[in-house]
Amino acid sequence: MSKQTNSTRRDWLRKSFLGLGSLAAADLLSGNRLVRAGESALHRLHHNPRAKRIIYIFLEGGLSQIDSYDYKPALAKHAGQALPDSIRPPQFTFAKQGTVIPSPFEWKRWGESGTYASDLFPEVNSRFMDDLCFIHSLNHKSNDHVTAKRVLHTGVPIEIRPTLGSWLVYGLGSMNENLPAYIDITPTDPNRPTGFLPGKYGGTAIDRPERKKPDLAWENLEARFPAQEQHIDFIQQLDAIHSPDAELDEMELAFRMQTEAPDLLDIDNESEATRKLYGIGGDHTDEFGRALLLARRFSEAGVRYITVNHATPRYGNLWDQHSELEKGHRGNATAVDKPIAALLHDLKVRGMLDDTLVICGSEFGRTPTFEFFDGITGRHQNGRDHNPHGFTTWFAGGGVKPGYHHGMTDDFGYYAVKDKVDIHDFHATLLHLMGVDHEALTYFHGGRDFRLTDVYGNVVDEILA
Amino acid sequence: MVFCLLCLVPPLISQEKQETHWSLEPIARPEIPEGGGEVDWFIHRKLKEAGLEQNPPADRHTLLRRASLDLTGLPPTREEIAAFIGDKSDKSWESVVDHLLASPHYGERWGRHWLDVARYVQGTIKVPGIDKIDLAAPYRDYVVRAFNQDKPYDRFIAEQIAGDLLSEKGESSQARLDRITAPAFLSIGPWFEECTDPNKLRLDIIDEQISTATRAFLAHDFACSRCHDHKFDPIPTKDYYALAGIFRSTEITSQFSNDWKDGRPRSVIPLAEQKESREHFMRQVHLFELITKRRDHLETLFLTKVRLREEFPAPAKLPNEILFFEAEDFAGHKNLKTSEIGPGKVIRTRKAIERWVKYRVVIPEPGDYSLVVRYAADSPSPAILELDLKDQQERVLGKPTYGELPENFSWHPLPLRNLEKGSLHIRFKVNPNEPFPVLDCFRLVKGVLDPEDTEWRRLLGEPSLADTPYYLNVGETKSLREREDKIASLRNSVTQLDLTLGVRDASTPVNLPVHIGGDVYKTEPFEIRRAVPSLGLAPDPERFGVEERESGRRQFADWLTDPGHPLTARVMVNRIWHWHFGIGLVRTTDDFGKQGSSPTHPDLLDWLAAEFVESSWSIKHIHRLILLSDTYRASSELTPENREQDADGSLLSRFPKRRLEVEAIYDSMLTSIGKVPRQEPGQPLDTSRSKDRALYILTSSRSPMGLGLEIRKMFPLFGFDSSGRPIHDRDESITPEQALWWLNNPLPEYYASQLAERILTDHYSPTERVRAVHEIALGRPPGEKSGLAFLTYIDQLTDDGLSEPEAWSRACLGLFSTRSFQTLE
Repeated sequence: MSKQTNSTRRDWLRKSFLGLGSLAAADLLSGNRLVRAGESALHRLHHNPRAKRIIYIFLEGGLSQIDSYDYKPALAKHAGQALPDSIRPPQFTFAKQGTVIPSPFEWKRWGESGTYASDLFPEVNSRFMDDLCFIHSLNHKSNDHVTAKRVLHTGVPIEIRPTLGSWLVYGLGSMNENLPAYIDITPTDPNRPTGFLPGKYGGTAIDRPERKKPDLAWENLEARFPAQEQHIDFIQQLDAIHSPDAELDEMELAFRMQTEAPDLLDIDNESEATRKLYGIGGDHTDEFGRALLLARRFSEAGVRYITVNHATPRYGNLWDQHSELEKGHRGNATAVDKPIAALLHDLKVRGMLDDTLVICGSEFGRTPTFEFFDGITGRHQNGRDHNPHGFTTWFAGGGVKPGYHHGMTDDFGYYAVKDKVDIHDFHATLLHLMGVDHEALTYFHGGRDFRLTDVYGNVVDEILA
Repeated sequence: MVFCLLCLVPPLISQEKQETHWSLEPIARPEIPEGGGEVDWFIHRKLKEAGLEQNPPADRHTLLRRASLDLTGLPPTREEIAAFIGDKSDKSWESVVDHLLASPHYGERWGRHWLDVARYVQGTIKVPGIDKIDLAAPYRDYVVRAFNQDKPYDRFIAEQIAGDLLSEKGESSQARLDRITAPAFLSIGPWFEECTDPNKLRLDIIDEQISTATRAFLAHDFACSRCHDHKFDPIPTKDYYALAGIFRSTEITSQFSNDWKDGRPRSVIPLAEQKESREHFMRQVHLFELITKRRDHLETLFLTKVRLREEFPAPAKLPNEILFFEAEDFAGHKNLKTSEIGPGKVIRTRKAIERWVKYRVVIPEPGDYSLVVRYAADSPSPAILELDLKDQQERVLGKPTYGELPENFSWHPLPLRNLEKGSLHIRFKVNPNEPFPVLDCFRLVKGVLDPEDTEWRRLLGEPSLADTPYYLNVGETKSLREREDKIASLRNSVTQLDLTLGVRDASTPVNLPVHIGGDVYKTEPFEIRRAVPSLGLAPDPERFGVEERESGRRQFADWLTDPGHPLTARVMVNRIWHWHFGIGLVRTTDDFGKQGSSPTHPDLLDWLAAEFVESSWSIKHIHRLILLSDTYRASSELTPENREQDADGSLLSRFPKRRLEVEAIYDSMLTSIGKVPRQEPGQPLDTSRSKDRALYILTSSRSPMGLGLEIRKMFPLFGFDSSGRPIHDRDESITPEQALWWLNNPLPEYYASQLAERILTDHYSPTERVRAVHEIALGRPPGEKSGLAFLTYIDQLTDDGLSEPEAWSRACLGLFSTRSFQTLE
């Protein structure tokens, strides 16, 4: 690269930063719609944040609460019986409801707190049970995966609205100019419309370009030819001639991402010990270990909101055990248990767990009864149906009370009955932890101010540390 | 829970003063000075008030590119550039505008604008959870045609709401086809594949239709009134349910099953001449008669030959039988369902998409086997047989049994030769849209069975009617075969007609009660008579009253297109303005209610609306008024003054710059390599020559240059939303991910290399080449600086060891990646 081009680059940088004075105007004028460090809808946070970033581990398909963290001895007692009349059946189920089946997993006490949990996640439970904070009473009304996932991420079931991640980026902006503020690792839906928020607030997908290879990549990031700087200089020169009034420069940002991100994505930079810790190279844990290690690396580099989806490519719903609950849940849990424990450990050691909120859960839980299912597997009566009426999600780190359990379901783990937390409460609480008042983060669209929590939402104060 | 955009907010505006909102006031044509230049008169007056001056006109290259992309979605060709620059006459601009408005490509561009509002997506775009919307293409082509013909907008609305009801004596065949295609507007909405409650889903679909239609034509969202009276606009729930009754009395599905797994197939009708459709129908009737006759014949034979003469043992195992299993005991399936039939269960088709079922059996020792299948099939439904994922060349179970009732089931042996010992996966599958046989049960037998032999059949107990042919003598067999041959030949002669989505009035129209809070099961005790909405406008019951026996769509269309309607014309001229300038006179193009924006130039809006109605709702008339104005021709340059006082450009101190829609960006690359041959103005569009344009390519299964996947990924990256919701304002975000795409994606690189090849072949001198690429990509010759920059870069690249084509390709890619290429300026 010649000196000449280098100075062009610096000129450009200077020029583009000069435009930062009046961002809103620049945004409108130039048609340039980048999220830049320091640019955010909120001039300052509403209160001191307890978390600077969120890593949301999403187990797609529906982790069974009553086979993981919501201990219900009644299931074993009533095995083979219909649910008692006191537990009314929901208005609609996807399949005929069977009788109660006990949890096929072993339940025991973990940690100093002696919390009951199944042996699905032995690593997480044995090492971090006392660090986790549980909500056992999450509930909503969407019975199918698609709308349930939308509810979890956006607050509404059918309409396309911005996700929690988009709202956070819109409200808080980016912490690293050279990286997107919102990363979506192995997303199921490749199109991630941002609803009424501009597309710049959307998540950037990190995915496996080749299904058979474990490597995660950021599409179009890898330089297709050498001398990219020279190429970008050329584009910028032409832009300077033809569009001298464009104030912000996406090419420049792309270039800096291209410089910074590949190193971040390259987990060979990590020590063998760390890689091993996450289960990379392990028979079952390799894929998810890579995903979570990347999540940690992105967090460290200043990404605000990261979702890590445990899902089958394209279809999703990996945890959807309508049949073969034991085999399916066990296999899935084996793939994620060690990596999750490693993430918690790693964040702790690096002192990041204090201001990083880790969330782990699904779009809904599962029913206490088995489900009549087409096919021979249905005869085994060993799977559970969807249950959005009361399910569990856990939190760790950034501002939540360790070892705390909030809310309760009935004796069969079917319906939330005490301290119910709906999705708006859930979102309000997450925004609160990030230093944002959910009632004050609004976006004007179609004639009114929109909120992530609509007109609802109460912060679940009890879980705050 | 039912939700809508506004239903959750408390009213912000006090309802004390009930003044009519501006958008519901009658359109008043403002008095203005005569002599043309009306658009500018309004705009300049307002600019003067703000102490601003409008920019001078843009240079001619910019103007031509602006108009060309704006009206046809394609950059000008080099010939067009030369002609316009060379045309020194006063009328040169006017003739360019007329030329572009007459171009068949105009409909492809402006039809797409409408398709956004009509929430058209289809085909290969798969949105998770949304039923794939097949057969929407005829509607798309209808919309393109309508724009090209400058179909009066009132007629365009009427056809989309009630085209099926508007038959006229002596109409042309094309007019009839257009009219029956247009109502697909009502049925192309996104419907959920899964639903929690079919009754709720039905109301959700109606709600989706109401929301789309009222936002499209009236810029009001009636969906809010599903749960409660509208908080701001004069839309009470009873008006919502009066309108909902109209849509509830309109059938857009061929069936509406209470079993969610059955899906809700959209109703389809033949897209063919009436005569052709009638003949098709008659042939089908004839076919049905032949099949009935065969059945009668078979029944006689069954009663005389089989039932009376033979005695059958209780069902037994076949000799060498090693396994019996039911069809519903599958190891996996796709899109099939178990259903009860007679005393037993079978599995059958759920939806007309890809289907398969698989079984796993254990083969005890190597050798030849037969899989004996009991199935039924209305029509020939040959399935692909796969053994351990290996396709067994010949299709199986292809023989129809002329019905799918219990009496139509029959056993058929499939030979499975040279099997190995151990686990075997057996899969039956069909390609999308092919029929699938109804399967009952299977027997696995060692050895190869002779299908014609009746000895093994006898052991299976009493034969069904469908088994009769195996018990007949030669003569009887021959006479039955003759009937079957006739049926088969008639079947073959029934050619498949093209189909389109069909809409019709229900045979018994119904009224709906108000659903309290939008709840499906909580209703008020009385029903609301189907009626057009009032919006406080007191529609004339004489003209718009709905008769008992009709849905009311015709009246709804009549009411919408009434020349005195205050909204219809205003809403559309505002959309046209918005699509030209990227910013509407009313910013919220889909909300003219109290919560929407106020018009920046209310008198201009009314003047345009009055012109629209008086020109018989001619959209092209409005285009001409706008394009021939100074305002449209103003340069897009940002000056300190207009930056300060007209930041968003809504005062039109300049032509507001904006990023092009993804279709225009893609088509600009496509056309740079000569892939969109320009079609003659005034001629009907030949879609076969345009088929590679973005409008079509995204929804076709074609994969041009093997880059189909990349094209599909490009679209959402540049703000295309395929979720099927109506889009009233495209997302024009420019993101670093787009920049990375320009740098590193194979798609733009491919087009750049093709453009380079074209340039290197066509031109010899480097300066001529640079001139050509600039004109092709940016619509202008290079200035001194950009020409120099271009050639310097080429030199640098060749110095770095790139070949000439490589260097030109790289530089062309750079040109594509510039702001100018992607911007309408």
